[in-house]
Amino acid sequence: MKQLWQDTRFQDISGHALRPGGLALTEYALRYCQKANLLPKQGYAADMGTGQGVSLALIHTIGLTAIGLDLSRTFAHQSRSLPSQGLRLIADVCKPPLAQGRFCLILFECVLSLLEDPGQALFWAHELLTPQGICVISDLVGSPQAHASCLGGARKRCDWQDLFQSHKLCVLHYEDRSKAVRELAAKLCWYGADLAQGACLPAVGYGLWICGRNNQLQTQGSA
Amino acid sequence: MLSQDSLRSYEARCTQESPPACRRYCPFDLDGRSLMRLVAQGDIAAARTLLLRHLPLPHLLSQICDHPCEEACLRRDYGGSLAIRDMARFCLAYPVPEKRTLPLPPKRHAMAILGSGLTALTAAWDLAGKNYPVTLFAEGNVDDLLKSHPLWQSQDVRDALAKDLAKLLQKQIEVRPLAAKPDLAELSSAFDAILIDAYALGDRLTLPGASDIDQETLLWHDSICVAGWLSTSPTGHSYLLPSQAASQGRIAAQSMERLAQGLSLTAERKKDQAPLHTDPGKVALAARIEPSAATYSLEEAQAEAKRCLDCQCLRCVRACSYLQQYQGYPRLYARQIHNNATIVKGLHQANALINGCTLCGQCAELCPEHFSMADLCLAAREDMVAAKRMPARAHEFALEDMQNACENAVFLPDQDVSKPSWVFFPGCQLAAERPSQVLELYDILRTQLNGGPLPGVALAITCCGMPAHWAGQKALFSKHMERLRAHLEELGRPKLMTACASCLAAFTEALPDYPLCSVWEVLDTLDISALQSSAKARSDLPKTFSLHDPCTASHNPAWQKAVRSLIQKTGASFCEPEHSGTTTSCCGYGGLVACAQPDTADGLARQRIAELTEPALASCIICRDRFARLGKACWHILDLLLPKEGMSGECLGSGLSEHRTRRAKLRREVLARMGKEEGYPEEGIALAISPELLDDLERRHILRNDLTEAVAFAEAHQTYFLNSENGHRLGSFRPRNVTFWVEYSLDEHGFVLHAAWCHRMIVPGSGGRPANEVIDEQQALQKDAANVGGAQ
Amino acid sequence: MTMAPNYAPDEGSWLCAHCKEPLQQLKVPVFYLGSAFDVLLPRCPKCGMTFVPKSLAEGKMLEVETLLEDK
Repeated sequence: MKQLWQDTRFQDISGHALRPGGLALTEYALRYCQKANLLPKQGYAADMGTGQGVSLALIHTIGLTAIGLDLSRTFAHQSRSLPSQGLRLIADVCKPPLAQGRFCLILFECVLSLLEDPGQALFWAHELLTPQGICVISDLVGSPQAHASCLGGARKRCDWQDLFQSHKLCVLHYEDRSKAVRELAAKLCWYGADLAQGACLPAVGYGLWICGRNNQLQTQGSA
Repeated sequence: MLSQDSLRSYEARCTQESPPACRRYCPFDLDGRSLMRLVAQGDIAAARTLLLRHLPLPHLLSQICDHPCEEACLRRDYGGSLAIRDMARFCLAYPVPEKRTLPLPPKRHAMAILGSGLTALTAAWDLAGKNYPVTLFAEGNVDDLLKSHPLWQSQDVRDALAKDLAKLLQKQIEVRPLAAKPDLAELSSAFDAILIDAYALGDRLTLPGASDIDQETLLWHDSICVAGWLSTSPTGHSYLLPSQAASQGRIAAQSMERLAQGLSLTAERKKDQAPLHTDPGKVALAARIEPSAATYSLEEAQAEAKRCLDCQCLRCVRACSYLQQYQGYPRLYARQIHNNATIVKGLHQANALINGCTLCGQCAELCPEHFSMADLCLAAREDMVAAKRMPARAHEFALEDMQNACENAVFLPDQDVSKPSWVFFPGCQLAAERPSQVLELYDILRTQLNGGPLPGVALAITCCGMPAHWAGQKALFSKHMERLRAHLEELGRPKLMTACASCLAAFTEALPDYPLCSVWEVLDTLDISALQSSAKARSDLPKTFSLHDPCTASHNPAWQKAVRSLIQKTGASFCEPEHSGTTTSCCGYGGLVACAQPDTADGLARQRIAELTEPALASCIICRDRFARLGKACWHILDLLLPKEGMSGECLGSGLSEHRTRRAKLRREVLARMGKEEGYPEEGIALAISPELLDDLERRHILRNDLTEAVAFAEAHQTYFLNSENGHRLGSFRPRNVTFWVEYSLDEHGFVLHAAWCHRMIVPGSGGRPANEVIDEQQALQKDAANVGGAQ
Repeated sequence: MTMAPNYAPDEGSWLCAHCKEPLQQLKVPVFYLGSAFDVLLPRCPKCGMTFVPKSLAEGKMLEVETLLEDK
């Protein structure tokens, strides 16, 4: 069965970000981190589940070296970022072939809900991050929907929080971005994408978390 | 938002999820209702699975259990309880392919059971069934067990016990002889938990009595449980009650598990639920069907199963089409509203639930626990408004109508009495629909009251603000009421008499200390013999009316009494529908449902109409107009007291656009009485609209005013399109939050409207503003929003 | 970007009465509750006056408005 994000119309409508909020949300999150002095001027960043790579170019503009992971070869071929803007790896975000303790930024944008075992990805995120490293996570919030693919991985906000905390990631900041889902659903409707899964979208919300490693609690204060 | 605790207390009131009586009294939590349903459907295999899931020693119990479930069965008084025990026996005997069960992983905690009475065997059954290694210290063999009770001598019982024991012995169970004096210390070191059957070992050990042990845990000390005492009758006679004995075995097994695992013995054991309220209603007597042979035949079993009442509560749901619409019940809805969870794909159920309730409180009246959807939904609306999440579309039209009523507000003091004792508050809807009756009634009241001990009647024509309250707009409502209070204080704090039950409810809510009553109560004390005689002389009225109480008068007995008294005085007779007085149904306007969800509102109106067998009579003009619109003849009580030429129950209301005109006219009339002249508004353009078209547009919340404004704008600025085929013109205008489109043409009399539509989306180049201006403004707004971010 | 949907008048041949120009299907952004959507609507090429057909207003627009309004 074709997944929602494999449909070219969905890709188009979501601005090739393949998720609610689009690139604008990524941009907002990065700017937030910069303003809060959570990111260094230079360093490595990993975009887990990079898809068509639109975030890589964005990360590049804030001076970090971007590495994008995605298992899909198709997306690698449809890449919307230049090699100079970021390295693409065909790899599993649950088993990232990356050096530990070297990443100041890891992004999980609407990815964890797709994984069978998101805990694994989070475990490795904790390992890959520098002590001051930041994890930007955005994902579907709500009750898991039986029929839809990605919506099956939606979780309640408290469940997401528990998942992060049980992998030694503490939440520094949270924002409710459910509007982004409504907007994506509205756009799917407007632009004529008759994608059945689109109809489920209004039933879930969307959250944005900025997390740090647990040792950050002393320095950053809790969210 | 509602806290978890208050949500839980809301939820707890609804007993729909509580177990039916049979299940409630069964120590093994067997749902007799489900059992009967499965047998009636012919799914005996599933029925059997249900039994095996719940019952220990199923064959034995289905022979000897004293069936507390049957004692509790509500059908007992309607032909006899359901034969649940016999049904169990039937299902167990029915040839069904044996299901292969997956072996459970063996557990490591060793369990010891001393004795082999019914209690001990039940505990053994449960623990061995979960694959604990069980050592049963038995004092004899099966025959000895059976000797203990005379009833257990039958061959059927022996066979049943043998079957169950055979099953039991297939598990991880070892049978050892019971010592004459068991060494508890030794046993405690060898086993993780121990059960002592009090009946069997009463003579070998000094054991505590039933009153010495907590019956919920059956713990004696350390990891030793004691259970299995005989029951004692009030006269001191000891007897074995199988359901009790086996129940103790189950409870002991649960305790033993917790002891072995080091878990709390008391946490989450007993579920405290309010009993399921079931009103059997009109149940036909049907005698219990007994098996003609040792067990039922399939036909007999199914016939008996069909006698099951299928106990549900659903009392409120049965009476309200809004509650039926979502195929659930209040407990479920409470959860949905709180969690904002939707069930159906794409259907925004939480919003629809919240805004679809008329807030009439009927459910709370019908519910034995007084669950109120109104409280829940109103609180949710207020929360949504406070969090800026209430879509404007939901209530905007009604709030704009309220504003219009306020703009046409007028306060008339009593010409002759400087400090009037009364103020007549007809309400914005009656004033807009029946202005002449309002003035007539005012004059009658004044004439009569000014001659009495409490003279002086002022007139206050404005809206009470109830639409704001219903819309969840707390701030708007209280601000409005404060202004009204100021006006009333200025008038000298006269007693307020309303002709509208919703106004009365609004004042009661916002100004509880202000003197209030309904105009009907006052009329009832006055001499209305003149009115009475004119009413009695009429031949056009129906012989009998079905009386409809407005929902906002449901908790106002004075209103209800006065209305009935007045009707009787006019010589009319009436009957009352099933839901009347405190349990009256809403016509659909309450809670602004007619504005937010017209289809839901019409469903409610139709449901109510179906209950009104005769032509209807109402004391609320909104109810009257709504019923008439749906084809149900309905009179207003004023039509009996102050008849108007040509008025009958079939007449339709004048329409929402006409209300605006009438309000302005009434205001001018009242001002004229005060000697004040208010200029007529500028003669607008003449726009001819067919009544059918206007009716259709009003249903879509487009009023005549909106249309004339749009045409006037288009004509004044030449901002219209021209259809070269038929000469039609098309203009648009966006005065507030909606863009109105008007397709019209010009003839010798003026303008003629052909079609109209509207939308809320902002389309640059329409609505009367230059496109670039709109685009720049919107894009700037978007940029600001993106920069601010934050939670919405 | 995605192909913006195209909506012509439901019927008739319309022109801008002010400029006496026949209408063309031109792209315009429409806005609601902070979201923007592209659409091709009949517009006067001179003054930019824009036509919203009834079928669009009561169809897709209403659908999308409702989606954006919901909780």
